[in-house]
Amino acid sequence: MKRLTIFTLLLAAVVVGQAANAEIRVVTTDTILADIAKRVGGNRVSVESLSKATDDPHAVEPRPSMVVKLAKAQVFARIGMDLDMWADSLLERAGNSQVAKGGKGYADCSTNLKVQEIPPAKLDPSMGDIHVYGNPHYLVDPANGILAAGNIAAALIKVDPAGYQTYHNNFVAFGEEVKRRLAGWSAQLAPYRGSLVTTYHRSWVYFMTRFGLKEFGTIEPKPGIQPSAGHVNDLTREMKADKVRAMLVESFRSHRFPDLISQQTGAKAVYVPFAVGAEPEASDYFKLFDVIVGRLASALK
Amino acid sequence: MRGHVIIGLLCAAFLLGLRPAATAQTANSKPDTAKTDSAGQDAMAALKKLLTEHPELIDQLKALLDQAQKEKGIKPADKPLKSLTPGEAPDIPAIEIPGDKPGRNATPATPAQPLQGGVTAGSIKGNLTPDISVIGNHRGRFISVKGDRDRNRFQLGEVEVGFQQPIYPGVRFDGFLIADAEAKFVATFEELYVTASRVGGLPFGGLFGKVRLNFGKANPVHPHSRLYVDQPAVIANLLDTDSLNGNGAAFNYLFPFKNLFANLEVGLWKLNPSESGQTIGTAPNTTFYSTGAAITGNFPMARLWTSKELKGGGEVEVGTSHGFGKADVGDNISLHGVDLTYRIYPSTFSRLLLQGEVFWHNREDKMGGTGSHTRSGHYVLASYKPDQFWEYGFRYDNSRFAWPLDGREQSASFILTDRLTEVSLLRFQYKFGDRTNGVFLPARRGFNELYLQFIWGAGSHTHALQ
Repeated sequence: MKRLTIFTLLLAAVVVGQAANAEIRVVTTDTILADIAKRVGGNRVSVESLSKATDDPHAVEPRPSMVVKLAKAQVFARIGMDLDMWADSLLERAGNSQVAKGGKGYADCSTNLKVQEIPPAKLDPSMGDIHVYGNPHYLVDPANGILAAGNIAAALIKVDPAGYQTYHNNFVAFGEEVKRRLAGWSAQLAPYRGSLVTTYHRSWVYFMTRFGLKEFGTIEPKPGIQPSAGHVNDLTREMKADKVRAMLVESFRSHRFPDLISQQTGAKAVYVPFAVGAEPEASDYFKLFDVIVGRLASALK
Repeated sequence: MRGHVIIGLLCAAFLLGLRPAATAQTANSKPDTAKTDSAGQDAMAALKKLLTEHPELIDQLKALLDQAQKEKGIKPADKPLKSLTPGEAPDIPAIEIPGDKPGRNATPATPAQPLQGGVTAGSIKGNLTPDISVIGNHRGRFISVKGDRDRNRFQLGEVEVGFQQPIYPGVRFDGFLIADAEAKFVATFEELYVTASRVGGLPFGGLFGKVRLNFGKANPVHPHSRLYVDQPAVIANLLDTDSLNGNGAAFNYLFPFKNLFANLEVGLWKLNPSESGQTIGTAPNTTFYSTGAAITGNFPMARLWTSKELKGGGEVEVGTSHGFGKADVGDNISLHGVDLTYRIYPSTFSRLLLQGEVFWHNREDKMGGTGSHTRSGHYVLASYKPDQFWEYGFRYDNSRFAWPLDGREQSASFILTDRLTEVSLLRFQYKFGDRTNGVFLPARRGFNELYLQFIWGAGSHTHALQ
C-alpha cells in the first residue's frame, strides 16, 4: 500500500511537473503573426504557422495536416477579415472549441483595426476578388503589429492567466520597440513622402498610408484578375507621363509584368518579402520591415 | 445645490448655443470683439470648472446643446472624414491589451468580430440571412459519337444555389439546391445537412441530412470544385451517375495522433438506386438493373481518412471506404474503395497533385443463384498548376460496369483550366478511348470527345475539407 502511494505521488508529481512546464501551443495563419506571437508569448509558448512564408495569404490550400495542428492548439491567431477564410474549414474539422470562433483561445488580430477601403454596400464579382470587410492587408503597416500583438496577448492571458505578467511585459516591450523602429523607418522614407508608387495588388494600402506614399495604380486591373495587355499598356503610358519611379511587388508574384513595365518606364521593380521568413534577410518582424523600407527607399532615391 | 448646478449649466449652454448665431448677426457691424471674447472666456472657464466638479452633467449638457441647436435650426457639424495628406501618419495603436485593466490578471471577452473604422454602434443593421450563393456550370460536348443527344451543344448544365449558416455554436447547416439539365431544371436539394463540430465537449463530430457521401475522394466533390469536366467513369459505373448520395447520419472521430491526421467516419445512410440502367432478360422475365451501386435502403458505411505531411512540404493522403446494402431484388451488395493522393507546392502558386482511386463492387446474385460477382474500376489523375491562373491535367479512366451490366470505359483525358478569378473558370477537356456500353453515351471503340466548361459564381460559398 505504501509503495502504491509513493508511486502514485511520484506519478502525480511528474504529471503536474509536465503540466507546469507545458508550453501554450499557438497556431497562426501567417508567419508575421507567428513571429509576433513568439515575441509576446516568450518561452511560455510554442508557435506554428499554418501557411509558409512564401504563400500568398489569399490562396493557401487547406490540408488535413493543418487540422492536426489546430486540433492541438490552445490559441489560434488569424489575420481575419476573410483573408484567411481558408482556415474555417480546418477549424470546423479540428473540432477544437477552445480555438473556434468565440473560444477563449481565438484571436482575430484585426479586432479594433481602423479598416481602410471598406467596400460599398453592394458588391459583385465584376469588381474582382473583393474583400467584403475592407482591405485586409493591415499587417504591412508595422504599427498594426501592436494591434495584432494586443489581440494575441489577450487570448494568451485568457488561456494562461498565470502568464499575465510575462505576456503583458513582452507586449509592452514589443509595442515600444515597434514605435522606436517605426520612427527610424519613417525617417528613412521621409524624403519620399508624396511619391507615386505602383503596386501589383492592393496589398500595400496600409503601408502607403503609414509612410505618406501614394499608390499610383496596380498591375492587376482588378483584385485577383490577371493583367491584360491593354491594362499594362495603359498603366505603362500613365506611369511614364507621371514619372513613377518604383513598383512595390510581393516577391511571390510573377515578375513578368513588373519587369516589362520597368523596361518600358524606367521605374524600378522592387520585389520584397511579404511575410516573415520569405527571404533569409526577413527572418523576423523587424527585419521584414528593414528589408521592405530599405529596398523601397533605395529605389526612390 | 443640484438645482443651482443645472441652472448654471443651462446658462452656459444658452451662451454657447447663441454664440454662433450672435457672431453671424454682427459679422458686418464691427463688434467690440475684445469684449465678446472676454465674456466668452469667462463663460467657458465657469463651464469648465462646473464640469470638472460635476462630470456626470456632461451628457446632460450635450443633450441641451443638441436641443438648442435643433431649435435654432443649426445643423450639427458633420464629423469631418479624416483624410491623410502625404507626410501625415495615421495614429499608432495604443499599447494596450484589449479588455485588459491595470492590476488585473483576467481580461473580459473581446469582441469576436473586428470593429471596423468608420463603423459605429447602430450604424449597421444585423443580418440573419444565410450566406446565399449561385454557381452556374455551362458545358458543351463536341465531336462526340453520333447519337449523343447533347452533341455539339454548349448549354447550361447545372445551377447550384447554396445556403449556408451557423445555427448554433459549433453547428452549421449547408443546403445546395441543384437544377440540372438532365432533370429538365427541376430544382432539388441535392444536399441539405447539419454539421456539428464536437458540440458540448463530445470527442466526436456529427453530420446528418442528405449528402454526397464521403465515399472516396472524388464522390463528395461538387462539379464546380472538380479538376475536370466529367466525373471519372468509375464513379458513374460503380457508385452513381454523378455521385453516391444518401440521407442519414454519420459520426466523425479525429484520432488524437501527434503528427498524423486520421479521421474515421461511420454512418448509416438511406440510398436510392440510380434511375439509369438496363433491362436484362427476355419478356416477361425481365429485370431492370441500375448502374452504379444499385443499393436500395440502408447503407452502413465507414471511411478512414489519413494524411501525413512530408518533409519538403508535400502531403500524402490515404483513405479506405467500405459499405454494404441490398439491391431491390434482394441481392447483397458491398462496396470498397481505396484512394491515394499526393500534393506538393513547389512555389507560391504552383501545385502538383497526383491522385488515384480504386473501387470494387461486389454483388451476390441471390435471385439467379449465379454466385458472387466482383467488378472494379479506377482512375488516375495528375494535375499541375504552374501559376495562379493555369492548370494542366491528365486523367486515365478504366472501369467496368457493376454486374450484371456488361461493358467498360477505358479512356484518357487532357485537361486545361484557366482560372479567371476565384469564382470563375474556363476549362477544356479532350477525351479519347473505348466505351463498350451505351448506357450513358453511345458505345464506340475509339471515341473522341471535346468538352468545354465555363463556371461562374456569385456570393459566399464554402465546402467542408474534403
